[in-house]
Amino acid sequence: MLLGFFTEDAYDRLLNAVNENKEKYLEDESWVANYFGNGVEWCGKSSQQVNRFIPYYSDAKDKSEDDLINAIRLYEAFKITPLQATNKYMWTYMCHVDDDCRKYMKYRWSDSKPEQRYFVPGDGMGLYYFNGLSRLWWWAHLTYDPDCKDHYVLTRILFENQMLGKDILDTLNRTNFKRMKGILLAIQDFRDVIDPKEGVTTYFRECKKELNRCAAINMFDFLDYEDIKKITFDILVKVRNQTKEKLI
Amino acid sequence: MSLNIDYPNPVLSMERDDYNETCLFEVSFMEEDIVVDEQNICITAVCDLQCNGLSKLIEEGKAAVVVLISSSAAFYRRAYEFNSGETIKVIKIPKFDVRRNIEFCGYILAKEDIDSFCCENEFNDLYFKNVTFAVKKADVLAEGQTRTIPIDDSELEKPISSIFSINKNTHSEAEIESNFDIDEKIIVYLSERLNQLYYDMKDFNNGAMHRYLNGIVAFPVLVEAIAKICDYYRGNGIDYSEKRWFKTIVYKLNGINVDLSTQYDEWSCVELADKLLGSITYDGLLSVKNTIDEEVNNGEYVNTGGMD
Repeated sequence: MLLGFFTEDAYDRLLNAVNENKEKYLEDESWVANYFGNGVEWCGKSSQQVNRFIPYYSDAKDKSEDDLINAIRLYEAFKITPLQATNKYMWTYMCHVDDDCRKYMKYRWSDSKPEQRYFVPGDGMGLYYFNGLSRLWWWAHLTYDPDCKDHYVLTRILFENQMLGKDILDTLNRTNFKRMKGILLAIQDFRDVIDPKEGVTTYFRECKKELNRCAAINMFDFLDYEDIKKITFDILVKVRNQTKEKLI
Repeated sequence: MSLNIDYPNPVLSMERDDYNETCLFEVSFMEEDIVVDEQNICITAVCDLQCNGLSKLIEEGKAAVVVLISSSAAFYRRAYEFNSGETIKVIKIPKFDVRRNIEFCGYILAKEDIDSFCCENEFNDLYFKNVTFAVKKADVLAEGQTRTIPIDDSELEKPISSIFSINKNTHSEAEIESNFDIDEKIIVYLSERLNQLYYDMKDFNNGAMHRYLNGIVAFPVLVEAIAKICDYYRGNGIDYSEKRWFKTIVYKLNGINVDLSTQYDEWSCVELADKLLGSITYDGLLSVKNTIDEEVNNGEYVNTGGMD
C-alpha cells in the first residue's frame, strides 16, 4: 500500500479539534473522511510503498512484550528511510486513517490523550516516545543490528523495561548506533550480575548523569561499542556499590 | 563551542588560549562545493593544522582529525575520521538519514590512551608550563568551530503530485482551471461534478487509482507549469522562481538531467511532464487495455463503438 499523509492544514485542524472529537477516537469505524467532507484536500498519498502492518494483540496487562512484537512487525512492514520516518503528517495519518493502524491505536492507547498518541507533539520526543506508531518504528530502527544474526537482539533489551528504554533514548545515545549497542549490552551484562529483584532503572539514571559528564569531554561517537559497553558497565557497578554503601 | 567545557587537558581551539597564538586548528568546507548525489550529501572537508605536537601525534597514529556530523531532527550523529596524512576528505552523509540541518565540527581526538600528553613549547606557558596530561582514547585535543548547513529535504520523500492542491471551483464555470500565483502550490480548480468524481475515486482500493487520477488532473497543469518555467528562462514570463512548485519542478527535472535554465528550447513540455509523472501516459493506456482485455476474457465486453 502507499503511505498516506495529512496536509499541514488538516493536521492542524484535527489537533485543534481533539477535544471536540474525543469520543470519535473510541469508535470502531473510520471517521476522519466524514469529518473533513468532500471538496477539501486533507490528505495525500506518497509514492512510498509499504506492506500492511498486522498488529499483535494480547490480553497481557504489561504491554512490553506486545510492543516489542509490534515494533518488529511495523519495522519489517514499513521499509522507509529515517527522513521519511520523521514525517509527523505521515504517522498521524496512519494512526487516524489506515484500518490496521487505527484499530491498533484504539486497542493500545484508548486510555491516553489522543493529542499525545495519535499526533506527534514536539519533534524528537514526539517521534520516539509519544506517537503510538512512530515510537515502535524508531525503537526498532535505533536498535536494529544488521551484523547480528538476530537483528533485534538489542531491541529486545530496550523493550524489557519501557521506563528504562525511555531513559536510554532520552540521551544523545539514541543518535549513534554504536553508543546504543554499547549501553544496551552493558545493561544486559549488568542484569546478569545483580539480584533479579534489583531494578536497573534507578542505577541507570545515576549512570546516565556520569555518562553525560564523560561524553562532554570524550567523544563517544568515536569509540567502538565495546569501549562504551565497558565504560557503562563500570559506571553501573560503581553506582550500585555506592548505593549499597549508603544503605549500610 | 568549547569555552564552557572544562576539558581536563589543553584543547587547541580558536575560542581558547590553551595554546600559543602560533598554533591553529580548523576543519572547513565551502558551501558552494557541497554536492548532493543520488544517495549522499558530499562535503569536501579541508583540515588546517599548525601545531607540531598534534601533527606528530597524528603521524604516529596516536591521534586523528575527526569531523562530527549531527542532525538532531533525524537522530543522526557520526564521527568521520581523516586518514593519517590526509588534509582533504570528502565526507559522504546518507541524505535520507538526515533532516532540516546538519551540524559540522572538526576535532582532533586521541586514538589511544596517552600517558604523558604534551605539546612542547606550544602549550600556553601561563597555565601549562612543564605540565603533561594523561588523556584517554577519544579525548578532545583540538576543536574547530561548529557550522550549520541547512538541508532542503522538502521534496525528498514526496512525489511530484504534492505540489498540486485540488479544490472545488467556486468562482467560475470552468471544468478545470489552474492558478499559479496565490499559493506555494499550484491550485487546480475542478468543477463540482469533476471534484465529486475525483474525491469519490481518490481513496478507492487504498489509493490504487490515485496515480491515474493525478495523471488526468495534474498532467495538463504540469505541462502548463513547465511552459511557464521555460518562458521565465527565456526572459518572457512571470517570475515564479521563489514558488515552491517552481523549485520542485526544476529540482525534479535536474534529477533526470534536464536543466531548463539552459535547455528551455530543447524539450517538449508534454514529454517532460510525462517523464516527471513516471510515464503516466503509457501506464494509463496500459491500465485501460488490461481492463478491456479482462472484460473481453470474462465475456463482459460489448462492442458499442465510440465518438470521434
